Amino acid sequence: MRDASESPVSLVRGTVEALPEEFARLASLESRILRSFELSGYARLRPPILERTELHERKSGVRILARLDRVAQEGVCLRPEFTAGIVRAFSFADEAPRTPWRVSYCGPVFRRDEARDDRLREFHQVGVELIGADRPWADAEVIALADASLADAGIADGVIRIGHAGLIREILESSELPTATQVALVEQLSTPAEEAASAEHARAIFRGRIEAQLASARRLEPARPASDSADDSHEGAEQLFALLYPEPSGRRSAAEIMDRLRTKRRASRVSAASTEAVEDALERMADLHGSATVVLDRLTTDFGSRAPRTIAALRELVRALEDRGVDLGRVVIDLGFGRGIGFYSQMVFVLLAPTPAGLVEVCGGGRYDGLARELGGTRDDRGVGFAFGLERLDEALRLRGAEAASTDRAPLRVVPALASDLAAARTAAETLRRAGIAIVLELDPARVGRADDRAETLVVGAGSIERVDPRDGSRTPTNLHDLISRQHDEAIQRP
Amino acid sequence: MTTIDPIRIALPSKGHLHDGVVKMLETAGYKVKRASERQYEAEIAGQRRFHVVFMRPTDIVTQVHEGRCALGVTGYDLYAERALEAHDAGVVVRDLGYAGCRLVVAVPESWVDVTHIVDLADLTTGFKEQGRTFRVSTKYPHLTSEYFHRLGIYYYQVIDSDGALELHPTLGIADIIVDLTSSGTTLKENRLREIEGGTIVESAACLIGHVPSLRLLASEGDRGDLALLLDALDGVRNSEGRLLLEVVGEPALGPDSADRAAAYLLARGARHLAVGAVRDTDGVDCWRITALISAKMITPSRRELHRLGARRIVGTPTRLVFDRDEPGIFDRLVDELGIELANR
Repeated sequence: MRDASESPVSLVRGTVEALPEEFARLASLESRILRSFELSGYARLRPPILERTELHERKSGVRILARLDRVAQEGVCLRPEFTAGIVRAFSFADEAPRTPWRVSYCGPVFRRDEARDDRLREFHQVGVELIGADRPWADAEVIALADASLADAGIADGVIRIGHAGLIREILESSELPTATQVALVEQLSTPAEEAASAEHARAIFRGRIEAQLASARRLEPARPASDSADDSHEGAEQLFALLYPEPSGRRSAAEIMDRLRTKRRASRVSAASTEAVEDALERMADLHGSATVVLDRLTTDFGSRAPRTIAALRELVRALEDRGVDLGRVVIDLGFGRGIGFYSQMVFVLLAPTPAGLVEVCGGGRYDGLARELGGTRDDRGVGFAFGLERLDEALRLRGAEAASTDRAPLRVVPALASDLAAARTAAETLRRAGIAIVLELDPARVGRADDRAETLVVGAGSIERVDPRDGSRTPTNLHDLISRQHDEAIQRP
Repeated sequence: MTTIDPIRIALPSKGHLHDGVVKMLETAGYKVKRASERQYEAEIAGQRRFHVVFMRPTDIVTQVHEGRCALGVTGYDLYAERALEAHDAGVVVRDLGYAGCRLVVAVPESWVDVTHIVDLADLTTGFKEQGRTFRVSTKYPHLTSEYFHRLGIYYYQVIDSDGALELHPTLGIADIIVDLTSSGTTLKENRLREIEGGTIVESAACLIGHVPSLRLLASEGDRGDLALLLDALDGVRNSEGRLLLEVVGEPALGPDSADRAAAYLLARGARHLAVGAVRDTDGVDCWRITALISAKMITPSRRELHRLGARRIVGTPTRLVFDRDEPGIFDRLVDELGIELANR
């Protein structure tokens, strides 16, 4: 039987070690994207990794909330995303930042998904937030920036898929359902939408929900007083309640309970026609995807009266994207796609990288107006942003067969020619390092004067330096000045 | 290939979970020799390879997952709560037939507006809209959040607590609780009520095993020590509540009276009926039926059987029952692990 002390210490599930080669690839990808943000006027900031759970509980979408990586300490978690922290920073900084506030970030985020082995628990995001700016131009700015950054990372043919969280809200608003039910439904419908489940699935969720609601409401009927008059029945029900529960336990007052009871009873009278109309709309909505012009036309025909605000917003956005020079041929409008509709309030978008294995989602974002207010802020509450998943992007590039970013060659070795040349070797190494050249200084007596077959070696003697070629062991005299200028020339030639 | 020796079995150290399994093992022929309740190790009579350790039911899941114990008996609820982290622990027998209970959502009885689990989706959303936190006390945060998530209940805070949860709503610590109940009496006495759709898990004592160890042990074949233990448990489970019935009657009421008696028993749930002829000491030809039948069915059947010609009815307790056509625990395990056994 295995003994605990002998077993190797394994990695925490959902984490990976980036060894130098992989790290170099990820880091170069990250810096190219950050550079693209910087050149568009986004200033880098760094929110903490440890966060109050409450920050995310207040507003985060289901997808994040269910996967918070909670720390044993009460009320603290590892950040699952950056947006909430950045909005808090904007809202509560001692001095109100000037708007529009353009910031960028990168770093690890944490989400636990115990049901799925293949998901990373710790991964990296690189993204931006544009706070205090109005749609549609700000929306177009960030979508265009995401697209341009993806091109800088080596994917110029990404698909820009745009949705709108307002549509589902507008449809539900017309359903006579209580507001709380509508909000809960939006969340519930966002999960299958994210998992690319079918329209029937969404319909089944909606129907199941309405049926359970009606069943639950029907169970109330026996308690209903016989009187027909609505006012009498309210009063009667309250009296009955007070009689049955003179001291209700729990944190809800009698008034709250009776209030909700009334709302619920009203909801039970929602007409079948109305719920069917919503079901229908949900199904047609799930089917609405395609090129911008086609979808906008269909949207106007099918939902013109139900969702005028959403349609107008999408039209404006498409126009603004055109102004930004975004290739509309790569834009797909998909209203069945409900990514994070609990979190985002309006426009949502993702970037998809075409690969031989299909489209890979590498970036996602949207508009989250109102988030700042929910976090208790009183400053501008408009915001829009996106984040790239660094590992996802790297994966997409690999699937596309992109050449790995050239990892730097092995650093130059410096060894003393003789045991008495230690000081000369040390000085040479310091000079080269100051000139920005990576040096491994080997002072191991066993290696004095010896070359290496993997890395170029400089054998430093008193007043002389020899360069040893790792391929054939040939020795060429050289000097520090030549080495530095050669290295700089090469650096300039490298992409 | 390495072998596992001793085969360590983790059992709950006391309570229902302990008593049930010790009794079951004894019936199966694996008597646990434990000197006192304070002793945390024990042998099994005549089974030198097995070694029993006693611990808390929650620790059993961890010890089995980590492979220190090859087998363990614990509550299914406790296993399910830790299943995702304890991925090397697998269920061998989901329900050992005792210590049954349910993990349920309970709300204050005065919440007349909450009758169904879907009400909680609305209610929690309402709390959030008002800037309040809906709180749920439970010892089962994982099972609770998984279940709630599936039903669209997202906005609540779990109060992970070990004490008596029933008081939490009254004290204002939480709004509702998710807790174990078997009869619901404790909930009622604390002014709490179950709601429709609020059963998260049906639990009972269950047998779990360390999957890599099970693989090794199962590959010892159907005469290996694991197979013998699981077969014996099969025998005990199959015999549970059943008596071996022997009915002897004379064909006074016509030659088919034996068949009529057999048909009557079959309709009352008797299984494995066998009808044969016997001769009594006076040389009278009699019929004889043997069958397995639920213990509680015999007395109510007695008079009708007499009318059908039965002279004598005997019910004998069974200890082990094996049925060729019922796949046993071991067979199912071998299939699940995908092991090819040479002699099967």
